[in-house]
Amino acid sequence: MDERCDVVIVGSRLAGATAAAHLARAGRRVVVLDRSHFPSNQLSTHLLFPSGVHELQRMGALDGILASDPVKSPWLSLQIEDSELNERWRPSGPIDYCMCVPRTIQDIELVRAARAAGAEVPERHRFLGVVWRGGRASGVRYAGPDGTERTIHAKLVVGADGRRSSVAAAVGSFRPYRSSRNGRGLVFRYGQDPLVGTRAGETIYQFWEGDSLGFLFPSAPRGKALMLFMGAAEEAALAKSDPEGYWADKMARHPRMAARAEGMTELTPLASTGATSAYFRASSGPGWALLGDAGHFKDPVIGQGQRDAMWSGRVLAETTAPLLEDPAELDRALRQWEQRRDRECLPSYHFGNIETRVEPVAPVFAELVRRSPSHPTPDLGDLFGRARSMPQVLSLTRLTAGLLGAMARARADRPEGLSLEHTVRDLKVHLGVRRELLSRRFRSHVLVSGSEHPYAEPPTFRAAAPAARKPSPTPKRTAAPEEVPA
Amino acid sequence: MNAQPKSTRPPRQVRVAVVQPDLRVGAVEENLIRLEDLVRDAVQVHQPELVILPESASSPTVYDPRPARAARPVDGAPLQLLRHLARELDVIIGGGFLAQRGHDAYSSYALAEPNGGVHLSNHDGSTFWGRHYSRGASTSGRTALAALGGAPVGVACGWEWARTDTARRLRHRVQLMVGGTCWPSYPLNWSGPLDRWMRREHSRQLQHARELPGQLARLLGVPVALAAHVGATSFATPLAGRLPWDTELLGESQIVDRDGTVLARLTRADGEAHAAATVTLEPPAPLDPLSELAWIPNPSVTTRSLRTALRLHGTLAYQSQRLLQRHYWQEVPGADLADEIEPGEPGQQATATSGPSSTRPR
Repeated sequence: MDERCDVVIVGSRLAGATAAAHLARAGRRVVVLDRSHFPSNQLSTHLLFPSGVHELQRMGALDGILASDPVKSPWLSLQIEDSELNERWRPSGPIDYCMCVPRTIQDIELVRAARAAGAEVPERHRFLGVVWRGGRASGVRYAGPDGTERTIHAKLVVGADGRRSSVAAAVGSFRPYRSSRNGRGLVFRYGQDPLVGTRAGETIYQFWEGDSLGFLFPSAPRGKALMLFMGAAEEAALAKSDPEGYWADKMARHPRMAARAEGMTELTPLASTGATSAYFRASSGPGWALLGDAGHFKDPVIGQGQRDAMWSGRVLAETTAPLLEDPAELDRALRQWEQRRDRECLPSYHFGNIETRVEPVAPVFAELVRRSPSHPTPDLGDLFGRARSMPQVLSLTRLTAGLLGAMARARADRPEGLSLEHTVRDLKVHLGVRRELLSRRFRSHVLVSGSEHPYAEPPTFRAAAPAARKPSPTPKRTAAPEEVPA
Repeated sequence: MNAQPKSTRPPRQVRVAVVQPDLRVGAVEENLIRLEDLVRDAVQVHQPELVILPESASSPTVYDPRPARAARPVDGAPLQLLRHLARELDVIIGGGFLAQRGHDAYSSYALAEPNGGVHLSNHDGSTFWGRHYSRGASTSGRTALAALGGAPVGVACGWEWARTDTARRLRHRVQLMVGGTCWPSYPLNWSGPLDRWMRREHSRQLQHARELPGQLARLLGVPVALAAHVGATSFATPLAGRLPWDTELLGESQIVDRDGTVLARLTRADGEAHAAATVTLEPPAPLDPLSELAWIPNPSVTTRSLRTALRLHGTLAYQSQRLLQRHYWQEVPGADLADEIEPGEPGQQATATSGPSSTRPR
C-alpha cells in the first residue's frame, strides 16, 4: 500500500536535513530519503561562516556538532601581496565564529537533528522517479534497502540530492538556464595542527600568491586542520596523478601558507575536483522544489555553498509549511521562494565567478585590503561571512577610492602591476551585477559580461536508472568523497 | 508558430480524439486532475495519436472573480500536465490555459508532443469575458507536428474559429485544424421579454457552435478537431450588480472531415465525454470561397454588440488592474518560454526564464 506524508525530500545533507527539521518542527510529517548510510563523506570546502553556523543552530544540529570538539575560529587573516588583513568575523545572531567540520562528522548530526525534530530519515533508500498528478508532483517512487519499489505520496516533493540531482532530471529542470565555467579547482587534505590553542589556531587563513589561492581552516576534532589549494582547475588532475609532488610545488609557491602549515602531521591523502562550474536551475514548479546544489551551485572558491543550502532549506520550510493544503498557493509560494533564493545568492554567485578567475587578485581589491584599518573590526570579511552583500561591502565609493589608490600606487611603485583593462573590466562587472540586482528579473538568462565565463560544464545528465530488484550493497564507510561538492 | 505545408506529403491517416470536459470555474488544480483522467480514458478507449482539449482547459472563462485567479506560470501545472501525458501516453496533446508569460497573462494553447517538443501560441480573448483576464494576442496559428511527420497544423481558440480572417490566414497553409472553445451562452434565468430575447440568442449561439467546425473545414479544405467546454455555469452580469447570469457552456466538440462531414460529435446533452475519429492529412483543398465579411457564421446584432462592449470593458479592466499591479498572477515573478520548444530528454526540457526573447533557451 502506498505511503503518505506532507513533504518528501530526496537527500538528507545540508539542505534536505535543514528543510526537514524546520518542516517537522512546524508540525508537518516529513520523510527524507537518502541513498547513503551515515556517516558518509562529501567533497566540500567544509567551511561555515558565522551565518552558516547560525543556520546549524537554528535547525538544531549545532550542539551535536560542538560535541565533536571543533575549533571555533573568530578570526580572519587575508594575506594578499605585501599586505595582510586581520579582523574578526561579524556575528550572525549569537554566533561570532567560523567552523570547518568534516562532512563525516557534520552530516550525521544534521540527520540526527532532523530526526530529533520529528522527520523520518530512512537511509539506503534510492529515488526512482517523481509521481505526477494533474501536472503537479505528488510523490516519489523509491527503492528500499531490499530493492523493493514503493511509492510515497506527498503535497510537496523536494530534491536536495546535489549537483547531479535525479529529482531535477525527473522534473525536467536538470539543464541549467544559466551557468558559468569555473577557473579554479579544489585540492585539499587534513593534518594535525601544531598551533592548536593559539590565536593562529583559531584563524581562517586565505593566502593569495600570484594567481594561486591557498586556505587553511582549523577543523574538527580540535587539532585537526584543513589545507586547501585553489589553483587552475586543471591542477585537480595533476593532484591526482602526483599528489605529493603537486603538494610540494604548491607549498613552495605559497611560502606564507607553508610557514603557517609548518609542523603539520598526520597528513591525509589529497582529495580534489576540477568540475565546479556554477549554475542556476529553475528550482520550483508545481508541487516541487530543488534545494541546495540541486537548484543552484556557485564556485566553491568563496565557500558559500553550505550556508546557502541551509538558508534556502530553512526559508523553503518557513514559506511552505502553512500552505501545503492549498496547491495553488503552495505553487505560488514556491516560485516566490525561488525568487528570494536567487536574490540572496546572486551577489555571491557573481563574487564566486570573479574569484574563480585564475589571475592575481584585482588591483582594486588588493588596494582595499591594503587600506583597511589595522584594528580587527569586521569589514571586508563580510564578503565571505555574508553579513552584507558584495555591492554593500564594495560600494561604488569604496571601489572608486580603491581604483584611485591602485592607480597612484601603479604610477609610483610598479607601473606594470596595474592593468587598466583588468581594472575597468572589474568595475564593469560590479556595475553589471548591480544592474542585474536592480532589474529584479526572475530566472534571468541575461549574462553579466565579465562575471560569467563561457563554456561552462555543468553536471551531465544521466537518465534515471531502473529500479533495482536486488538488495543494495552496504555502502563503504570510507573517507572517499562522493561526487558532489557543497 | 511557423510552418510551411509540403504539397508532396503523402496522405496520412491520423486517429484524433476530442475531450469535452465539464469543469469548475477557477478550480485549476482540481480541473487538471479531472482532465488527466479524461485524457487517460480517451487514450485507452480510442487509442488516438492526437488528443485535443478545449481552450481555457484549466478553468472555464466567465465573468467572475474565480477565473481571475486561474492564470498559472506558463511552465506551471497546466503545461506540465500536457507534457507529462504526451510523453507517457505517446500521443500529441493540445490544450489551452490562462498563462502568465512575462509581464502579462495570455490565453495560451499548447500542443505537446511525445518527444518533448511543445508548440505554444497566444490567442485573442477567448469568450465574451476573455479580455478581462488576459491580453489579446495575434498569432500565425500554425505549427508543424513532428509526431505527424511534420504536418502543418493550424490552431484556433474561441472567437478565432468564427473569424473569416482565420480561414484567410490558414488557407492552403495547413493540413489539419485543431483547438477549442469555451463558450458560455446567454443567460437562461432572466424573465419576461428578456428571457425570450436571451433564449433566442442562446438558440442562435448553439446553431453557430454546431455549424462552425464544418464551415471552417470547408473553407480550409482540411479536417477539423475542436474541443469545447460543456456544463451549467453561473456568474454575475457585468455592470448589473448581483444579477445572476445562469447559463450553460455550449459543448459541440466535433471532428469534421475536410468536406464538412461530421465524423464525431459531442453535444451539450452528451455532457462530459470524449469522442474520436480518423482523419486523413493531405494537401488542403478548400471547397467554399472566402467571404468578404468579418465573421463566418454572421452573428446576431446582440452578439456583435455584446462582444464589442465586453471586449472594451475587459480590456480596460485588465489594463487598469495590470498597471495597479493588482492581478493575482502579478504577485509571482514572471518568466516565459519560447513559442517553439525543441524536443529533448525529460530532464533537459527548457524552463521559463526572463530576458530578451532572442536569447531565450529553447
